[in-house]
Amino acid sequence: MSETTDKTFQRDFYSQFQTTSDNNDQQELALDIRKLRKNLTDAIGFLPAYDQRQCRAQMDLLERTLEDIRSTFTSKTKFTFKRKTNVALPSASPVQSHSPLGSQLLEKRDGLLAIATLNKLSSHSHRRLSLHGTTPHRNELSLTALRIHDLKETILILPNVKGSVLLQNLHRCTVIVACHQFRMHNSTGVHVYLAATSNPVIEGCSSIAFAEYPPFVSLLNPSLTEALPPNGGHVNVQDFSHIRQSPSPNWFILPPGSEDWDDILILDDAPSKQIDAILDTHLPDAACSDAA
Amino acid sequence: MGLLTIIRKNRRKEREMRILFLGLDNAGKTTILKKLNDEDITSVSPTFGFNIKTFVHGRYTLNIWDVGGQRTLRPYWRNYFEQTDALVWVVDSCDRSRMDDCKEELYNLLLEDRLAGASLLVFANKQDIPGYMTDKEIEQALNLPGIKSHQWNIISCSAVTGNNLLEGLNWVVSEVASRLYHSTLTDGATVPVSSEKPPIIP
Repeated sequence: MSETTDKTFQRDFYSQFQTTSDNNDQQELALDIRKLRKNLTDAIGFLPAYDQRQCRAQMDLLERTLEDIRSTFTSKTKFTFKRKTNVALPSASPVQSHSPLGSQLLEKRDGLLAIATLNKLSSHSHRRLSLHGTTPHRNELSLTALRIHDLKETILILPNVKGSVLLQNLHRCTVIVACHQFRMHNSTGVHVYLAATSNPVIEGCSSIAFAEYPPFVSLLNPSLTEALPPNGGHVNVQDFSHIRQSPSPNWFILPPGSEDWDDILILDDAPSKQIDAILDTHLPDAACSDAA
Repeated sequence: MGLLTIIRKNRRKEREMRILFLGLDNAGKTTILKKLNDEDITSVSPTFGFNIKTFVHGRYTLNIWDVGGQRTLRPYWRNYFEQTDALVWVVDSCDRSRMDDCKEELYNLLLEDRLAGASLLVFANKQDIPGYMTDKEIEQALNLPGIKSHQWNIISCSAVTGNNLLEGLNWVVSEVASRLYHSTLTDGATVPVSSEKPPIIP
C-alpha cells in the first residue's frame, strides 16, 4: 500500500514535472507540489512511520528541486546579460578571481606529511598536497585507509593506499591515487587519476573526470607506485546517484595522455611566482565546477 | 499443545537463522563476510545491491544478507527487514567524522517494528588501522547503553586480519539460539555451503 503510494507520488510528479517544465510553467509546478504536499499530509494518518519519513524526505527534495530550478532560471538570465556586457574581457579573469594569487602552497619541498597532520587537513584550500616522503621515511609511508574531506583547489598526489579511500566535499581538485576501494561523495569538478582493484564509486557528485594513473608519479618517488593495482579500473565507475541503465551524466573519462605532467616534476625548481600558474593548469576548469 | 510449542518444534526442524548485515558504506560488511567464508578479500568492490551468504555454523544454518551501505541504497534496507533474527551493525572504527551519521542510521533501524526483537551485534571493524576508536569509545559514541529495546553487544574486530570475527558470529548465534530454540551453540567451525550474488535491486 505504502509502496504504491510512494510510487504514485513519484510517477505523478515526474510526469507532471516533465509536462510543466516543458512549458516552463513554474507556477503550475509549484501548485502541483503544494497539492502533493497536501495529499501527503492527508495520508499521514494511514502511513507507517518509516514511509512518512520517506515521503516527507521526498517532498522536501521536490521542493528543493523546484527552488533550484527557479534559481538557475533567474541566474541564467542574469548570466547572459552579463556576458553581453563583458564580452571584451579576457577569458582568464574569472579564473583569477576564483583562485587568488595569495593562496598558499602547503609544501615547497618534498616534505613528509606525517599521518597525524593528515588528520587535521580539512576545510582548507591548498594548492598542492603531495604525500611522498623524503628518502629516510620512504618505507614508512604505508597507508591502509585514507579519508579526505572539504578541500578546494588542491592537487593531491597520494601513495598507493592498501585499503579504501573516501573523499568528501572536494571542489575543483585533481587527485592522483592508487587504492583498493575508491569512494567519492558530494564533490564537483574533480579530476581523478586512478588505479584501483575494485570498481570506483561516486555518489552525489557531478563533473567528475576519471583517467588512468599517470606514469610520471614513479619518477616523482618510486615508492609511491610500489605494487600498483593494474590500470584500467577507472572506466568501471559506478554512480550511486544514477542507478539506471543510461550512462551517468555526472562523470566522464579523460583520454589517456591528455595531461602533460612534466612541469610538476620540476616544480620545486620553478620560480615561486610561476608555481601557482603551473598548478592552476593541472586543476579542472573553474567553470565546470562552478556550473555544477 | 500450545501454539508456542508448535512454532518451536517447527523452527527446531529448520534451525535456520536470518542475519542482516548493515552499516554505512566503507564499513567493511562485505569484507567481513568474505573473510568468514575464506574468500579473497582483495577484490571486494563497494556493494551495488546486496549479497547473500549461507553458512553452516555449529548446528545452525545462517542466511546472511549483506546490503550495500551507500546513502542512495539505505532506503532499500527496509526491504530486507522481514523475519530478521539478528542485526549485525558494522562500524568503521576509524571513521570518526561520520559517527553521528552512523548513530542516526542505527537508531532509525531500531525504531523499525519489523526488527523488534532481533538481537543486535555491533562490529567495531578496522581495528587493525592506527587511530581507530576502541569498542568502549564507539559504545559511547553510538550511545549503545541507551538501547533498551534490543539485546546488544559490541565486539571489536578486523575483517582484514580476521580477528574476532568468529567470536562475534558465535555471540549472535548463541543469542538467537537461546531466544528461539532455548538451546546453545554447539561447538563447530563455520562451513561455507554456498554463496551467490544476485543482480542489483532496481
